[in-house]
Amino acid sequence: MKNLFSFDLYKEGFKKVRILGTCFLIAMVLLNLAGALISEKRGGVDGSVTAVEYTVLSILLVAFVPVLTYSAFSFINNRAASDFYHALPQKRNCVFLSFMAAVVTWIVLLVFAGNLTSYLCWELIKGAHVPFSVAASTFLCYGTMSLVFSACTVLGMMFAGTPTSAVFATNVLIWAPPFLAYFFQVWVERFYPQVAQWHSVFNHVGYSQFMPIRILFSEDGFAIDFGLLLNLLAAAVLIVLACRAYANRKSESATHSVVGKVPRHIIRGAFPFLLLLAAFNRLYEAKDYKWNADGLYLGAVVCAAAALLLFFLYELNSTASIKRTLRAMPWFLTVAAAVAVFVGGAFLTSLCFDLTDPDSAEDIECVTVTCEDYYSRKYSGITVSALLDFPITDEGVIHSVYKDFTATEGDYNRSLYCDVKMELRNGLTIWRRVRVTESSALEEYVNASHEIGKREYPIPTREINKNEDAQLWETFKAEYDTLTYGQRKAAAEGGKEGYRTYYVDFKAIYSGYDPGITQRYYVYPENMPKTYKMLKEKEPYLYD
Amino acid sequence: MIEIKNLTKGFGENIAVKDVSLTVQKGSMFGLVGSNGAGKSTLFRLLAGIYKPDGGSITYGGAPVWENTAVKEKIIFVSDDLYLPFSQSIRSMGKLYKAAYKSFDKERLDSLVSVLRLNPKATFNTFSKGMRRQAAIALALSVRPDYLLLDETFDGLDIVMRGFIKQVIYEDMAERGTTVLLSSHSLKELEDCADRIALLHRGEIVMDSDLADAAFSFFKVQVAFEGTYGESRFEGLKIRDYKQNGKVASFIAEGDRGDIEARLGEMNPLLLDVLPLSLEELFVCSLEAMGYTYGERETKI
Repeated sequence: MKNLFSFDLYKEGFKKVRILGTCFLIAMVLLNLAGALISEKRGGVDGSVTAVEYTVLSILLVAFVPVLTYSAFSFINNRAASDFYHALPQKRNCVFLSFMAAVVTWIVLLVFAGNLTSYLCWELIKGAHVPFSVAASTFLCYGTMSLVFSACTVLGMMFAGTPTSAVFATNVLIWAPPFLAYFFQVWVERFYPQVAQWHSVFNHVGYSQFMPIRILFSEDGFAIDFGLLLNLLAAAVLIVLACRAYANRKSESATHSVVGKVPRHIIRGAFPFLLLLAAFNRLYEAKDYKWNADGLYLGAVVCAAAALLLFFLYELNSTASIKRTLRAMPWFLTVAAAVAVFVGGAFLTSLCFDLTDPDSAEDIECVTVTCEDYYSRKYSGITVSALLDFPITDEGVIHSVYKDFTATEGDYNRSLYCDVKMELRNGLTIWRRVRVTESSALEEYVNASHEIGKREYPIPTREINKNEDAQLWETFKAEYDTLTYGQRKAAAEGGKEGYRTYYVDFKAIYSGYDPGITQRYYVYPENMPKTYKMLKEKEPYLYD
Repeated sequence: MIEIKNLTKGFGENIAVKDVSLTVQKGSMFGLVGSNGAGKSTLFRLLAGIYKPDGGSITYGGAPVWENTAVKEKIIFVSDDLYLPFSQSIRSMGKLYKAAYKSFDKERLDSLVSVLRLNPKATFNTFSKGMRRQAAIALALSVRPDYLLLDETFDGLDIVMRGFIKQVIYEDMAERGTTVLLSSHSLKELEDCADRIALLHRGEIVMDSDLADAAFSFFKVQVAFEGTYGESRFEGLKIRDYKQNGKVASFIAEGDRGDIEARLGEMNPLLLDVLPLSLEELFVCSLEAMGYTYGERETKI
């Protein structure tokens, strides 16, 4: 422990950035207070706050944390300071970890202050209860995001000797991984369109899980889940790497642009790599979107030119010599080769999906269909997401699903999709994206299913009123129990020409409904003849 | 004792320190002098454990210095390029030193600061260059190190303060056996205080000699003979920097004075003068012999 941490150095590290940290703390409190006062709450049905607008907190942490971290370790970019700290009678790991602990302490204070300010504002001023789980999850998520930023900053600094290259390196570390993950996923899906995005490995380690993408752009950004744990782990790994890098860093590296050949190649090639990938993307799209091919080709040329220019400018900035810059230009071809390897890797990954596909419907034991796509829910008559979240062994459905699964890509009638879990007879369980049309066999099955009907439209738990007709209720209940999903849906929601038939009103107690609501059921003669007859006897002049 | 054996350090293609070997005895003061860019500062940083050598070794009492906290506890290095952040003060830097060095003596710092008439609470941006140097030395001496490495430390100090600092260092050497390595461009300064001196040029040790030995080993000789003669006449003598103007030749001779006089006397010279060489003259000659000179000027600057 003595070789890894010094409390005295930790205190010195804490004091080193105290002015900056205090200013940031004050700004965090004041700006979060202002943000909380002007923001709208996203509320739950019981009036509690389910998610608070933390935009201000996000922006502040994105700005403050890297600056604070840089300030604590800025001595490594100054010759005199670097020599001083390297001369101290402390192990290098000890110096690093002590200072890092000080930075983490400031981060915890900043995140806590921001969260606490918002929490108190909501509770005391705006009068909305913030559940502890919400407060805790936002604290954990912002703390994790800040740790990731801090870890990327400090690791970037270890490979850079100047502030400019440190900023460059830090941004490569923060933004390149999610972008690379995104592009990798895009290319895998390009080669294999049936990747079930929300249920594949990409959902757990895809670009949407990277901080800060997760918090800033994802609806589930504050969930305490596997993705959060991955980010925490990533932060820890980056800090360990930074510690090792510091221990191996030469003091004489201060004021040099980039330290080490490998980091130099990575940093000089990172952003040109992304631009070249975008250019490649455009070229690939041009073959599909022939109507816009010219625009896409132009886009590809622009991206490639931008990549070359960025590469050139970085080299010029680092070497300050046109001659040496021109000598380094062949390295650009290495970047292009890396893009080819990247796309090739995506192709090989897509093959892994391909190889585990069932060869026929007979290979599938059962399917579970889920649909989380907003548009599918909105436009489809299937309403798959409400219905098919349980295993189906019906062979007809399985064949129908398999048929949709193997349907031709590029069929624009298939704009709807579901994610289907297939349990295969060989023991494998795979998830695949299945594109459907509104008239697929799946819909026929759903409408005809008693089982699904009972799940989605159960018989109401009725409040018995002694004045009501008990016989009518018993007849209705018996006939309603025999209905399919489609028939129950029509009964509960009116369906086809519901206004032209008899109906009964029952005081129903459903879970999710307030007690005392009257539920109306439409009675159709073709599927509830006895109930229809009883109602007709009571009211003979209704439409017939 | 500090032992440096075959030490080498390079920065890319530039070899700053080339196969250097030195021994510094405990309790002595060792002076290091050299041309600009000779590698003195690099050598000091290697000694302080800041740079890792590419080859060779540095040991303090038999223990290596690199990443050795036990050895580094006993060493304090005052660089030519001081680290005294503008927003800090002597007091705040003292706290950092106290956190890093177990032997740091705050009372000694207060005492030194008082004698040097420095304000311990004032930030360094209010200090002059000389005051910053005084502050750095006071902080270093307060650590009470066993090994004191001073890189051009006295340059920039006024003569009074220089004398005071030297006095404090001598006391530490006498009382605690502190070993001091210092570099300076002022040979006169080193002549006054160092026990041993080394001359460094282009990363290599050109000369490493006890000061007393140096004074009695090199002489400036002026000699004249009838007839024509050349440098070959003085074969058998260790000479350098040979110059001849007609009948009169002058050169630097190394060896025992009596022996040199006797051997030249046997040649029946018209004129013979053997004079002691100052350290400055010796070093300039040594460097000129290695080609380190500003050369002939063709135009007036």
